[in-house]
Amino acid sequence: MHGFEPKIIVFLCNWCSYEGADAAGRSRKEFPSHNLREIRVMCSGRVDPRFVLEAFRIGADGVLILGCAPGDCHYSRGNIEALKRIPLLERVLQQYVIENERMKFDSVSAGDGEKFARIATEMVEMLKELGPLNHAC
Amino acid sequence: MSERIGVYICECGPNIKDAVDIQALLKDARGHENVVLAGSFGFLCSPEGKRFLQEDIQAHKLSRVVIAGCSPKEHEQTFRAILKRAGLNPFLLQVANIREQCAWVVHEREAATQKAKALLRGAIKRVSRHEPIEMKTIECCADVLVVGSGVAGISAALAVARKDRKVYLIEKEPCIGGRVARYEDLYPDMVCASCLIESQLDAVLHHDHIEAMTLTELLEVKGYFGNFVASVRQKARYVDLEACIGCGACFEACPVSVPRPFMGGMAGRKAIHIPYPGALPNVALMDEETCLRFHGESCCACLESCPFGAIRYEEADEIRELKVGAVVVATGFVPFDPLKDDRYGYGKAENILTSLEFEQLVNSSGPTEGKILLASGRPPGHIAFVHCVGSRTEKFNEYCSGVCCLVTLKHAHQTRRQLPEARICQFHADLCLSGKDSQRFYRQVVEEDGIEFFRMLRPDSIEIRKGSGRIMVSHTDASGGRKQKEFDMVILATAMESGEKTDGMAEILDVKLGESGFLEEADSRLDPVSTVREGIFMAGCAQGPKDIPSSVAQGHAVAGRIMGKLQPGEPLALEPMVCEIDPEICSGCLLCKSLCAFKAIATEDGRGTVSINQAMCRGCGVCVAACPSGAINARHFSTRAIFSELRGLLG
Repeated sequence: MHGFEPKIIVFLCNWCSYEGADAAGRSRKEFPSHNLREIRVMCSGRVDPRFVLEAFRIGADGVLILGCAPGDCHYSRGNIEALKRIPLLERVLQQYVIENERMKFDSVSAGDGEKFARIATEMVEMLKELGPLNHAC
Repeated sequence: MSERIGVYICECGPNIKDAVDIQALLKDARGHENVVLAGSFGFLCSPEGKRFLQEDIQAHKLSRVVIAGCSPKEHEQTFRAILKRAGLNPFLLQVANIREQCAWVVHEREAATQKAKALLRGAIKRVSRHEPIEMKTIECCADVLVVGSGVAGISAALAVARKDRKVYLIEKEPCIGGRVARYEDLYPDMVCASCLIESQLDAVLHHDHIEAMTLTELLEVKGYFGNFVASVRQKARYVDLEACIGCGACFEACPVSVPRPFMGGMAGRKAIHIPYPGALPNVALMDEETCLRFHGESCCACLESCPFGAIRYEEADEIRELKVGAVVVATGFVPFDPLKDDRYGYGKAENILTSLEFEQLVNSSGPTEGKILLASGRPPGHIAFVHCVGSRTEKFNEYCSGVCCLVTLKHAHQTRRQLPEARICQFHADLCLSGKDSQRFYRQVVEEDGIEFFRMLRPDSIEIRKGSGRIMVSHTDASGGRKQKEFDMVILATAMESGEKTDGMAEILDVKLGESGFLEEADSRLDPVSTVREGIFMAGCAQGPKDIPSSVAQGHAVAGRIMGKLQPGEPLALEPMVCEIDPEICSGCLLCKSLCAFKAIATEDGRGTVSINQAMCRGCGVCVAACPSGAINARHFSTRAIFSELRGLLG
C-alpha cells in the first residue's frame, strides 16, 4: 500500500525505555518517529491489556510495549509480569482478527537510542507491509 | 465549575521553534475543551520563563497546566515546583515531550507538527483526568541495624551513629572487626592492620550510640523502610561482658584443650577462650561443643578461677526485637573452597594453604607467631603463589575478585622479608593492578624482592599435586607448553565469594542476589549501596568483591544514603504516585498480592479484601493492570488518565 503511514502507540516505562526513546532524540537518530505516539507509564507491567485493545479500537495500527531489559526492571520484575501477559493478549487479539505482529513487547535500556530506533523502524516497515488495521471490525 | 487549562509551548530556542509550526500547534490547542489560553515562550526553564509561568498561572486562575517542550525527564520536576508556587497542586501538570520524541527526530516540519499536535492533544486530554495528590508522611524510626562488623559495617555504624540515632551492630562471631582485624600488614605501605583498625573497633565498643552485639544473628525482618522490626538471636557467651576483663585466668584453669584446626594443630586453645589474641571485645567465651559442662559433667574450673565473678553458667540465648528504620547488610565474603577442584591439590598434601590461611600464618599473633614455617617446623625454600584460584573460570566464578593479585604480591613481599634466600614464584594469567598505588607496589615487589613470575595460558591452567616429599606444580605457559616445578609450600589466592551468610540475608530480607551470587543493587551504577528493597542497604563484600578502602567507602556511602532519607524526629515523606485499592470493589482474589514485588499488599483482617501499604508501595502499577475487578487505582497513572491520553494521541 503506497503512502500508508501507520500509527503506533508506544508504551514506554519511565525508567529504561522512555530514557531510551529520549536518547534516540538526543542523538538525532534517523528513524520513522513520526509514526510513533509515545505514552509513558511507570512500568511496562502497568500496561493493562485493555490499553492495548483500546489503542487498536480507536485507531492504532500497531502497539509497542517497551520495558527494561530482563533483570534491570526498576520494580524488580514488572517487565516479566508484562511479558507474561503477552500470550494472553495475543489470544484476545486473535478474537478481534488483529494480527499478533501488530503488537510487540521488547526491552530498551536507558541510553539505548540505537535499539529504540531499530525496533521502531522494524515495526513501521512491518506495518507498512501489513497495511492499515481494519478498524471496522 | 469547569476546568481552566493553560497550554504552554516552550520553543526551546530554535530546537522546537524551527522544527514544528508553533502557531499551528497553538491554534489546535485552543480548540480543545476547557483550554482557556495557549501561548509560547522562548525558554520556559529560564528564570524569566519560570517567573512568567508562575505569574501567568495565577493571573489566569488556571486549574491545570500542559507544557509542550523537552522530555519530562528534564523539567517535569521544575514545572511541578512552579505549579506549587503558583498555588496549584503539582500533579495537575502534564508535559508533552515534543523535543526528544518529536522535534529532534522528525526531520520534516509538517510531519513534526502533526506528531506534536497528537502529543499535545494526548497531554490536554490526560491533564483533565489528573487528580491532586497530597504529599503524605509517616512517623519513622531513624535507628539503624548493621549486620556484620567488618570494616564496611563498622564504617557505616560509626558514620551514622549520633546523639539521636542509635545503631545496633550485630556480629555472628564472638568478636568484632571481621577479617581485617586478623590481617598482619596491608598493602601498599605495609601498615599494621590490627593497629589501624583497633582504634575504630574501640570507638565502636565505647560509642554511646552504638550497641555492638556479638554472637548475634538476624532471624527475621518485618515491616518497611522507616519502620522495620528486626528479631535477632544473641547466643549465650556464658561470660559477663561487663565483668570479664580478659585476664585469661580461666584459660589456665580450664581442663579442656582444643587443637586449632590449622597447620597441624600447632597452637591450641581451651574450651573457655578468646578467639585470638587482641580480639575485641576482650572477653572470654565458652565453647559449648567442648566444655565439659555441656557434656554432663559438673566442672567449675573457670568459675572458681575467675577473679571477677564473670562466669554465667545460667546464661541462655536471648531473642530481641529491634525497632529500626533501615538495615545495612555488611556480611562480607567467604573464600572459594579449593577442595572443589582436585587440580588445586588442596587437602591432598601438606603445606598447601589458601591466602587467608597464609594471613593467619604470617600473623604475629598466629600459630607460629608470624613465622612462615612448614608443617614440619622448617622454613620453606621454594614457595609458589597461585593466582585466580576459583576465579575467572566458567567452572566456578567468571568474575575477577580484583584484590587477590595485590594480596598475593603482599604475601610474596612478606615472605621475602622473612626468607631472603627463598625462591618465590607467582603463577598468573594476568595481573589486575588497578588503582593509583598498585603499579608502584608491583614494581617494588618485582625490583626489590626478586619474585619470579610465570604466566599461564589461562587462569586455570594449573595443576598442583603431591610429589615425592614436595609439591608438584605444573602449568601451561603462555605459549602452550607444559612446565613443571617443585615447591615446599603453595599458597592459593582464592576468589571472594558471597557465601551462605549473604544467601541467608537475601532470604531473610527478601532482596535479590545477582548472577554472581552477591546482593543485587537497586542500580549498579547510580545506587550501588541500595538493594531493590527500600531501606535495606549493603556495604562491602556482600555487594561484590572489593578491597578495604572500597568497603569503607561503601560503609560511608550507606551512612549518607540513610542520613539523607531518615532524619531523627522527622516524618518520612511517602512516594506520592502509589496505588490504592477500593475495598468496596475488591473481590479478594489475591492476584495482586502474588504479583507485588514489594510485599505492599496485605489481606485485610477478617474482610477477605486486600489493602496496599502506602509506605511499601512503589507505584509500579503491576497490580492495577492485573486486577480483574478494576479495584486498584495507580495515582497519577490512573486507567482513566491513560485512556484519555490514548484518545488524544489517536484522535
